[in-house]
Amino acid sequence: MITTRNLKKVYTTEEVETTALNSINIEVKEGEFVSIMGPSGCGKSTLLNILGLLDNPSEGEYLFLDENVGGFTERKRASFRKGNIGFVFQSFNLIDELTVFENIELPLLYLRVPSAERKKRVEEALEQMEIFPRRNHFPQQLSGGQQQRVAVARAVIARPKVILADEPTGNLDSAHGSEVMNLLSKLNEEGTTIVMVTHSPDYAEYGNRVIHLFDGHVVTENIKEQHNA
Amino acid sequence: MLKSYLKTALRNLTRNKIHTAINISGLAIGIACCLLLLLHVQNELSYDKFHAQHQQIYRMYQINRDPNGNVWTRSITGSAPGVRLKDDFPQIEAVVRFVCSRNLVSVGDKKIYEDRFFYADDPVFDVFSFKLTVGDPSMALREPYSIALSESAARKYFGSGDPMGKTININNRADYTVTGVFEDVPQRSHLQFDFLASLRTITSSHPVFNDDWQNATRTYVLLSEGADPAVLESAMPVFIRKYQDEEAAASLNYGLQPLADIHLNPTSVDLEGTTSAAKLYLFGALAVFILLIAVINFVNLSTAQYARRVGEVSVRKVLGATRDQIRQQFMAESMVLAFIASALALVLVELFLPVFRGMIQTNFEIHYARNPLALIGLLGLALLVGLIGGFYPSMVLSRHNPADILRKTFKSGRGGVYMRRALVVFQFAISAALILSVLVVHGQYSFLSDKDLGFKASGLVKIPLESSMLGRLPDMKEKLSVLPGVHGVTASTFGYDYGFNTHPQADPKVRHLVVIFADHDFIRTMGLKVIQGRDFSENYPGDQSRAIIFNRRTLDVFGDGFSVGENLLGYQGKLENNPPNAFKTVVGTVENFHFRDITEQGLQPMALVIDQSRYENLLIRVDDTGLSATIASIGKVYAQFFPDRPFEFSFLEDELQQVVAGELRQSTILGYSCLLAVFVALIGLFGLALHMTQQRTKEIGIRKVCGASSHRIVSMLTVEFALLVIAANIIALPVAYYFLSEWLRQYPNRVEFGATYFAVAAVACLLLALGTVSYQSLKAAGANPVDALRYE
Repeated sequence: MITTRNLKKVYTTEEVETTALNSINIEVKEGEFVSIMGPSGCGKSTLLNILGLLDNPSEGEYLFLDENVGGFTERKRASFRKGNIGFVFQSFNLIDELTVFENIELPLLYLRVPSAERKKRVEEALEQMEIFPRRNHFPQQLSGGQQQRVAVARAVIARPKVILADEPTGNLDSAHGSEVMNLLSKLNEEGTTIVMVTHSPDYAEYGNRVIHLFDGHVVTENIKEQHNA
Repeated sequence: MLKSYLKTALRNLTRNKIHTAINISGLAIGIACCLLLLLHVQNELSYDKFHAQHQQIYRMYQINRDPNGNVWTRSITGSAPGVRLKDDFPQIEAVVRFVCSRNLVSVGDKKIYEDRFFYADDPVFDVFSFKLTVGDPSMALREPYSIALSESAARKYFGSGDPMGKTININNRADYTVTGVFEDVPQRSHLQFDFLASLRTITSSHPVFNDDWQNATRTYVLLSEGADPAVLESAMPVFIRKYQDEEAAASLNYGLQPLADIHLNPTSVDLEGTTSAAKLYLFGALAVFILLIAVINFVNLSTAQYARRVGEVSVRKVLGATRDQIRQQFMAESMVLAFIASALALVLVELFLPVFRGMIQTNFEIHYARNPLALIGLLGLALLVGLIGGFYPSMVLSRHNPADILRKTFKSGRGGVYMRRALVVFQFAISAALILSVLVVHGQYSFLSDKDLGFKASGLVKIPLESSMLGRLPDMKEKLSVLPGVHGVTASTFGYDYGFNTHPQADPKVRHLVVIFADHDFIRTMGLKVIQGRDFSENYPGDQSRAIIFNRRTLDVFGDGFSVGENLLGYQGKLENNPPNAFKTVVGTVENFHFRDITEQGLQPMALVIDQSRYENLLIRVDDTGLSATIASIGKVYAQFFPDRPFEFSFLEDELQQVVAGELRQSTILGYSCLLAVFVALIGLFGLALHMTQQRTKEIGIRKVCGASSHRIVSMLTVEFALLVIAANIIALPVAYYFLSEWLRQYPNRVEFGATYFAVAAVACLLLALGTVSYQSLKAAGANPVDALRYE
């Protein structure tokens, strides 16, 4: 589903050139749950940006669903993203001016899903994430765990092929963290591909395999056989 | 989708209350000002268009040409062409002549001098759309001594009773019968009157009136539909030659001016408050400037805010929003703001309409229902402001890379900062220029009103005279001059209530000579200074018919030709309408004095000539002490001589003030508009400063932790704004200097505006800006640094 070949990302400012990623070759199969680990500044988020079609690589190939998307323009990336990729962020990134319901509804709005259908699907998601009673609240009125559940609901509402999660537990205490991880596992079991960046070795264990990044390189890949069975 | 945009927009607006309040109030003030000024301009442009046939009505004007080829025009014609035109030209459907005169109107005990009194040809109600509410439009003025009254005049003289068929006495001489009542003449008419008497009243008793090619008659023609006024104009020379000898015909021609053009293009002699296109341009420009400043605020504040919205935009893009959708969202937000501001502007317009009316001295009304232009204009304005305000932010925000969200830090682009700075400079350049303009315009007017008039205006009582009174004048003068408290009495045509006509002279040298007819006592009573030769004197009986006294200006303009003792015979200097006294001898010259108004365009050459048959006013020099007793005794003398005339008097000084006030109006409107423009610019600056200090909260905290004093923080935050304002002044002041110098050039006596004016304008601009910014700076500098660092 996701294949990268010699992926490279270089940031150029007026004086310095920083290589964030170098010769990244990874593959993610449909239905997999892949964790990416590494110290701060190792390029995890940069990689996730590229995988999520939020950014283009400087060099190399990126095949998403067998299509080379590495050189897409922003317009093409935007339309490819829509409906194919769901995002979950460490800082939730809910829109403060929208209610829980409206936040979750947003991707469907941009997909031009009819109103009645939107209502049905959002309500299902609210039930599934157990936040139905909170549907008319604004994000500031929710706890961190509840906010992340809204974010997860928003990420899955359009039934994307893959969910990219950038430290989804980073701003949560351990109880809420586990709650969110269980939610992601459950989605994975139902068939959604997940790529997750995390600092926590414990949460990384939820994945089928862990990719370690260091200074822009992939250093090791641990495949957990028991999950592959 | 639109619903979602609007919802987000409204929630955003209510969340950032200060920002929203600043944005909306600034915009509302800007739009309200703009709307008022534009409606005023529209009102001015709509003069005389209420006449249904206005496109077919033309005013005839007279073109005089001297043998040297000099040409000048007057808006009055003689009364002769009017009666002959209709027979000679089939394309002329009707001719209406007006003669205006000041008359004593008496009904019962009520005796009042009325200025708004016209005689008119009887088709007046068929040609013009003055609405007769009672009476027959085509018959009302058919008979001599018939008169129609405005509704106000009817109420004034007859109360609630029916005036129809009643009689009105005019000048204690003749009774006129009321044959009609018309709706009060709209303010948007250049012809203003309350009494309309049949012109046949004059022509039936003085048939020669219809053969006069020189007197002050205003002639209007109604052309048949589709008739070309140019064809008629080109036929005028032949028309004139048919009735005049060759010499007279060569110097005379007539032109046609469309009715609706008169208000904005007054020719030399006019009836009522005409304005000039230049003034309207000024108002239009002010409107645009104020709106521009408000829109710049709007753009500036929106772009300044956009750093705060980047997160939201990124999320939306990550979730699938396209660039167009982001653009639409911000456009929608901008529109919502613009429409709320416009609604508020409407309220402001309603609130301030009375004040504005007082300022421009017209009672113009805004009928939104009857004036679709006002509503469409407002909607258009709101739409335009919304588009402009939303364009830049929506372009910039939609261009953002959604990956910024994951980087978690976002620095607003340098481009945005530079543009904001440029816009602030632009705003303050306009503000500085306006401040300087107000200083100079105000300086000029106070300079003019403080200036020495060349005579002492205070203590001069003016009594209007009628020609029928002139026979008894010498006796009355004698009685008045011996009253206690009276220092001098003179009769003349001098006064400020009527403009003086420039008497066209055959000699080009004296063409623009203003002639004041005055008696022997004029120079002494007025206190004018004789600088050459002598005053008029009873010791020289020839003075009565031959003497002429010039002002200094005449000598300046015409050179040595008109020195004392010079006989004007050699110059063929024939004074108009004065054939028996055609040739004058210069007996003296007086120092210049301001005989017309203090702001006239160039002090004009003037001649004093004695002519007892022409005086219009009596001027009495009185003591300040015991004024009321003196006036009472003057009134008593007046009543002895003219028991059937009401005693009316005024102080020359008050009339002078009226003239100054008229000119001051322009500067008042400029002043208030400038004040508002600067205020709106400051509102914007306040918002910008608020935003910038908020953005730098963390930086300020770190600087304080590192030992920066509050003083240093304040100066750091204000220096940038100070530099911007100084840059604005450097750009604006030279430009303003150029235009103001051009404006001042029309005044022969003008205020010198030197460094002080520039310094005051620049310092005022700087202080206002710094005052606005420093509030935010002081607040930021005084804050606890720990709070600032915890802010993240």
